[in-house]
Amino acid sequence: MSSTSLRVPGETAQSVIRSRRRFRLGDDWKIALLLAILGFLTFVPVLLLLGLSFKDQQQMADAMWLPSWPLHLRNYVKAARVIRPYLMNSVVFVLGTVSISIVCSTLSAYALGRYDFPGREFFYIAILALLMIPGILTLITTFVVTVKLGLNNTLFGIWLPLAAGAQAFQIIVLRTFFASLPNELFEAARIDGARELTMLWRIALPLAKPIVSTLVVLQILAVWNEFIWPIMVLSDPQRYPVILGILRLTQLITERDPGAQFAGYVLAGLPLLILFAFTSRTFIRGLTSGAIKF
Amino acid sequence: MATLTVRAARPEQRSLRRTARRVRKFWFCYVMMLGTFSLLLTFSYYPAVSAIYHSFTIWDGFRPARWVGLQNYREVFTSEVIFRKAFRNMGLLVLWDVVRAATFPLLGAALIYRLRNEKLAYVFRLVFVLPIVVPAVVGVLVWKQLYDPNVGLMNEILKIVGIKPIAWLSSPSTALPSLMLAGFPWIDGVAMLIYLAGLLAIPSEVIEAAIMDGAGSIRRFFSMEIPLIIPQIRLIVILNVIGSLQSFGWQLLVTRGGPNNATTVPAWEMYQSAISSGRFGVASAVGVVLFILIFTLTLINRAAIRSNVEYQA
Repeated sequence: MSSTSLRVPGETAQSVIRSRRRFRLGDDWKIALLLAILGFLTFVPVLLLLGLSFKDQQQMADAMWLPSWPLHLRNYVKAARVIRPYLMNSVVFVLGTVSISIVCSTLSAYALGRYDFPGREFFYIAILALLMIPGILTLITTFVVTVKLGLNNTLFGIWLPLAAGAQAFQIIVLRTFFASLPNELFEAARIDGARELTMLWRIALPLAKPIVSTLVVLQILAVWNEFIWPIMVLSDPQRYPVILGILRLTQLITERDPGAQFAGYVLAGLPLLILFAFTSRTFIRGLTSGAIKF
Repeated sequence: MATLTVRAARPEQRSLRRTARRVRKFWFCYVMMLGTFSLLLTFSYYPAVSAIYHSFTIWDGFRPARWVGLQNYREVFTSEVIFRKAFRNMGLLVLWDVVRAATFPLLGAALIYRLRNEKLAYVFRLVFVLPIVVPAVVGVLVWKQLYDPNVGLMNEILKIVGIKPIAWLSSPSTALPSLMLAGFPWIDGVAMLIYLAGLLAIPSEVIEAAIMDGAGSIRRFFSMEIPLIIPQIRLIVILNVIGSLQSFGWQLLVTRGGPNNATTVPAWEMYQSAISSGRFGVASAVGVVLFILIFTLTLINRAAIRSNVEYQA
């Protein structure tokens, strides 16, 4: 993390608040030390995992939990070879689910937020009611529906139910935003004869970009980590997402390289780390400033 | 319908006509919502209704169901495994989740809030949020490794301290506490950021006044900061409870509810009843019971928010 990333334009509002708190004197280093200890403890499992992922069998037997040299990068080569098809599965699951979900929720949120059509209240309450339906109630019967539609073991069997599950949250967040846009923005375009969908595409969506991208990141995280639904719907382990693929590493990698199994665990989380590197600022700022309301 | 009543314009007919005109004018809105509602009807509304209906039936999921009234519920509430063990374990786990979610991330947030150095504060926020990139499954698998009775780190530590090794997940008496210990030191990054947002929103005049009155750091935390971020605490607690009631990741991936049902929870029993035993009716009944629990908790939470607002006004 470069030091430039600490300074972002959007931080200024917060800096003002912070600098006003200059008067709160205290022992900064004591607090920092305590936080450093807590931060270190939080990372202990990750550090141990990294340690294990570079070990060969002999190093495992000698001192399993202590760092040891040399690092065996071979573990990662081996794990990557096994894990690649599963990584591809995960990418396909994420791309499909997020595209379907965001397109549907944006269109619905725009209609609900911008137009006073008959039945609008009814449809919005129907969306809000979803918040009262926990996933655990519908898990088994959604599975039955998916099987009856012949969607088990297909991509649509992953994409559609997961996209349905995200609709309520995305629509509520986006509808609030679309409804808050001033009418004048749209009136001018309407006089120029713009069609409704054109206005969504040209006016509303560019303004909604930060919110949409936050929703996309949250959904990528959720879909990448989803393991209960794929276990239920996919009977062929070859189609598993990487998060389940790593469960099969123990069978696929020979006894000689126990470290490769742990290298696989690391690789399964690596794409999320890359995603986080690009989005952490938006993410942290969004949550700390309370921009995303629940 | 509107064309028949051109002259006889009774009020309700006029409003009907107006509605029809607005439906024609805004027809595209219904088209825009088509995707969402097709998804929801198929994968949310229908399954919810189906689960409630089938909880009163004996059903294998695919052949026609047979209505049996409350029999499934009677089974749920008298079953040794589901009711006695699973609900007891769930109660303990939920209780622990409440304590955990309300304390440890709050401690982290309060400490970061007290840092004067902005850069340091940002770095620590990053440090505690970064673990969200570790997939839940990987977390579970790493902790499973730490708990390994033969080569796990936990027993290595006990050996160094001079305590007899523990079987952790393999013994009925220590399995559930092991699930609770996992994730130490339990500082959930997202919860911490939400608490921090609450703390940063406290007006500086309030802090100034407290400092003028000579309130120390710890005193300010308990008598000022905590009362002022009660809404955030409640949000985090309720989200955690709802999540905790439904989760069965450890059971699915590692313990299978064992050993000797020591770690089983209702959600896991539901999954097992349906997927392993083909008893979709009983599974639906467990789902409905959990649904009612979550629904009630949400309503209580809503009521608490409302009374709180009235109190402030």
